[in-house]
Amino acid sequence: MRLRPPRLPRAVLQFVVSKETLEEIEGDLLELFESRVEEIGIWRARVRYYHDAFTVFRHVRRSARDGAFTTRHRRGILEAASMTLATALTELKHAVRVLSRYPGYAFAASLTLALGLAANVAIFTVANAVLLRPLPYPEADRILSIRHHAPGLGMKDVASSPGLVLRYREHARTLATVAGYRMSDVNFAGSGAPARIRVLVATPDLLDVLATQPVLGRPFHPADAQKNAAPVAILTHTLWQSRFGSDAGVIGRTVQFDGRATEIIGVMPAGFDFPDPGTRLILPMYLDPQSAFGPLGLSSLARLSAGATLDDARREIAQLQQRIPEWFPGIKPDLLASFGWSFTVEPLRDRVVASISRTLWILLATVGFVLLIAGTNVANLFLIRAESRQRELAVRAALGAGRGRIAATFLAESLLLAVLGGTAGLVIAAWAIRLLVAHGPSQLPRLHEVRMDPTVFAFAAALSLLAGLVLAIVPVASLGTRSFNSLVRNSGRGNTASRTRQRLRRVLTVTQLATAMVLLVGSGLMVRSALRMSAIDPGFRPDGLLTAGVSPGVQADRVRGAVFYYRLLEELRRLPGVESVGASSALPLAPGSLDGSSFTLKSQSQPSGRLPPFTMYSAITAGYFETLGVPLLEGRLPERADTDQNRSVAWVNHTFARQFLSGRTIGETIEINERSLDIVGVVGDLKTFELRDEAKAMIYVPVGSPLVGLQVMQTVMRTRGGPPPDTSALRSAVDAVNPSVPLTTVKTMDEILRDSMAQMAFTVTLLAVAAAAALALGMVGLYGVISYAVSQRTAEIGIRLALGASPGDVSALVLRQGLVVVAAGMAIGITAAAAATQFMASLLYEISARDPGTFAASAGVLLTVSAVATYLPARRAAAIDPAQSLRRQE
Amino acid sequence: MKNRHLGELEELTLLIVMSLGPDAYGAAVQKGLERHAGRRIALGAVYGALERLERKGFLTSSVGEATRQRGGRRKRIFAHTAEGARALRENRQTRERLWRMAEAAEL
Repeated sequence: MRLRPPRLPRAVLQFVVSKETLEEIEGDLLELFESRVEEIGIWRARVRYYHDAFTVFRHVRRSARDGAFTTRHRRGILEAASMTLATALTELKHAVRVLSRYPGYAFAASLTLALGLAANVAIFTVANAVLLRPLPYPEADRILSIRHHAPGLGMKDVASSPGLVLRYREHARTLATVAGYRMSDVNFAGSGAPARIRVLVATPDLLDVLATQPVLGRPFHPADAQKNAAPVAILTHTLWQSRFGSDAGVIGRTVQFDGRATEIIGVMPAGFDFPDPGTRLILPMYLDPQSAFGPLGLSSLARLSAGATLDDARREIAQLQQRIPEWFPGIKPDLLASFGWSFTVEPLRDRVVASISRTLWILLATVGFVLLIAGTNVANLFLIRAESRQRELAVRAALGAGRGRIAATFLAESLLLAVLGGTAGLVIAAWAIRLLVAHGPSQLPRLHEVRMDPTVFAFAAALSLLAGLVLAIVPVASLGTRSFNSLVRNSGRGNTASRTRQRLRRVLTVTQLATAMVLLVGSGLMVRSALRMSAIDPGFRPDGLLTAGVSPGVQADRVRGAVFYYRLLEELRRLPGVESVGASSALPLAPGSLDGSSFTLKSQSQPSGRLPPFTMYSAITAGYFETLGVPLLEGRLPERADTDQNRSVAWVNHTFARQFLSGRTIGETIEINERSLDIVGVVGDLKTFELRDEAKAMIYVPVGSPLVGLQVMQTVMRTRGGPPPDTSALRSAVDAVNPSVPLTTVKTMDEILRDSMAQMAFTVTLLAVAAAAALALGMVGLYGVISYAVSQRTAEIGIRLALGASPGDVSALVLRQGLVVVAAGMAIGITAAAAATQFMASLLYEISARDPGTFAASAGVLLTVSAVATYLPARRAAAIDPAQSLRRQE
Repeated sequence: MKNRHLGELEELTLLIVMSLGPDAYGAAVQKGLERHAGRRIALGAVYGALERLERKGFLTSSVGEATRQRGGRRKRIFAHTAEGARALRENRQTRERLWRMAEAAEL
């Protein structure tokens, strides 16, 4: 490979020398570079290249000034460029001097900018990583997620099914490959403690769709996914490192997963974390070519064929929906219609970030507002500075400085502030990002991919420059409204404060207050949503509840498997501090695996042409409802004999009884999955997936029932006061029954509740911080404007007092002036908020985006704080000594 | 009036141009200078010296033919003038005189 010299110097040089000279210079530079690469290495050669080019540039400039080489130089451009450069340097030096003479001002202004910029850079970094950057797969924008919806079945999202994946693979020409996958867990003993690990079970072509291949070993072959193929597995890099010591000799070794001897055939590259970083293992999935329409629930991904677009794929999948009845006899078009059957084809990235994208856009807008307020404050400071510099500017104008030159003065100062603020902002942002990544909710998709990249730096630079430019425009614009001469004439007389500038500063303050109002309303709505959400009754008493998952794996004998759980519960019951125990195959709000099926009721004949109703079900042990604190509404509680005698009984929740059972509950029989279950009790509702959802219809069966697998159960323990048992105590309880059984997640119910609200809490915290910052900055602005107005009117106030105005009159005068500004800001703010909050309606819970209470409360807060910010200068005005203020005038 | 004085870098540069003969161009002069002066010399400084020498009339320059080296880029070839050679000789005589005086004083 040929080593190329840096390209930047040539780009710069071509502006100052003719083409021929450039050729000579470039030749010399290149020749030196090439001989140095051999002698001192590429890096030092590059450094010398830059240095040489710089000295050449300096030489060319100098000789042009001396009048030599004129024929070889583009003299005009060079001179204009060096003039501008010289002006810029002079102004920059001047700005540095001015700012170092007023360190307080420089510090306040650049820190305000830094905070505003930092907030924007930090949120942009997250948004960039999560929303804008492509997923870490080659041509990631061509990977599509295909989902189906059947609201009539009582489920939000039914994904796909093996049958559908196979048909799409066969018929969709816009899709190059269609892969199916689902997530599962297996027990893995290996070396070290037994563990339950997350498995991606996928058709072999999933890796083709993702265009990612193992770094070690081989990918799956179609033969690996045949019905009776020898079991093979691909490790993720994480598992390979943690459990196999990064040993390359692992390929070909046989390992037990869920008790099945499995050959390891490959290792995925580091950073492969599909669909999330929890994945440890990939197993091949067999798809029966005879697959029917169901079972639904298989996720599917596809890669677009060359030349096809997303729209093409959508159109084709829409057409293929018409052929479902033809592919699957028994699925009639009217049956599909009664499900409300529909589909979504979207880029995988949109699917991954769907849960967070609106929140992030809202946060980005919010911090944008904060920057606006911060910038306005600095602009205000800037204006005050501009006013106190009238004399200096007048002298410069008199000495012949043109308007452009005066503008350059402001620009140099504002750009310097912006650069200072931007640099400090980047540092603060880097720190804030680390905090966000460490404490952000773990469900936040792609959080682990968040880092600062060149896009972020470009964003930070652009935003800082923009801020600098806008800052300079404000005083220049206020200069422009009057004739330049009046600048000279007016200077030296302190009491002719420009009305224009006063008005401009008031407009800036109104903007700030309006923006603060919008943010107050937005965060107020989020806070109230969060409060309402935390007040939701989850259906159980969370305090003092500890949960621990155990997974003995597949049990050949159901009754023996169920006995394991009861023996474990006895051990757990014996732990110090434990009051009662129970277990279930799925916990509320954290259902690891939850099954669902359609069912019929024995006493009610199923009307033909209608869909059978759908319910979810889980297995429970005796003691589960009592331990959680779920009330028994009717009938009896579960007991151990239900399992031991293999009784076909079930409990239903309140929602089930309300929806499907009209009056008669106990004694009704449910026919589900070719099994009859007698209802023996009705219990209170538990929230299944999310706190904000309505409770779902549920059936509970005794552990050991053939309806529910026994691989994994979650135990719950109610502890009385004191510290709950720690993991090692739990571990030894499991060991007492069976030491080869892994203990999975140990969590308190409080933690599970908190996790279910984590995203809400995250948004609320960030919005509240932004609103508080906005309010504080807005108040600083208001206070600054009013107290400056007071200081400008000292003489006038002195005269008023001397002529008999009472201090109260003077305070009222100032307060009135302040409140006009506040009222205008509030009126605009309320209008803007009413429009802006519409965008966050989907984030809110049981509260209208135009909730009058929140609007009123926010207005109240703004008014109160504004009153304080105005009252302080008003009191100062009232305390003015008329004699002194008049004497100062002379 | 032309300044006929030779600075140290100018003197070394002129000597190298003379010794390189027809191969005296920017990069070659720079390499020669570095090798013989034993210190780092920036290309811009070399150009400066060459330009001053040319202005003083000690050097002339012309654009050479394109060669296959350096991607076919042409070189500016420098050659010393008779005046340049005389200035160098004068410098050398001055130095030798001074050396003789210094050595005599030491004895």
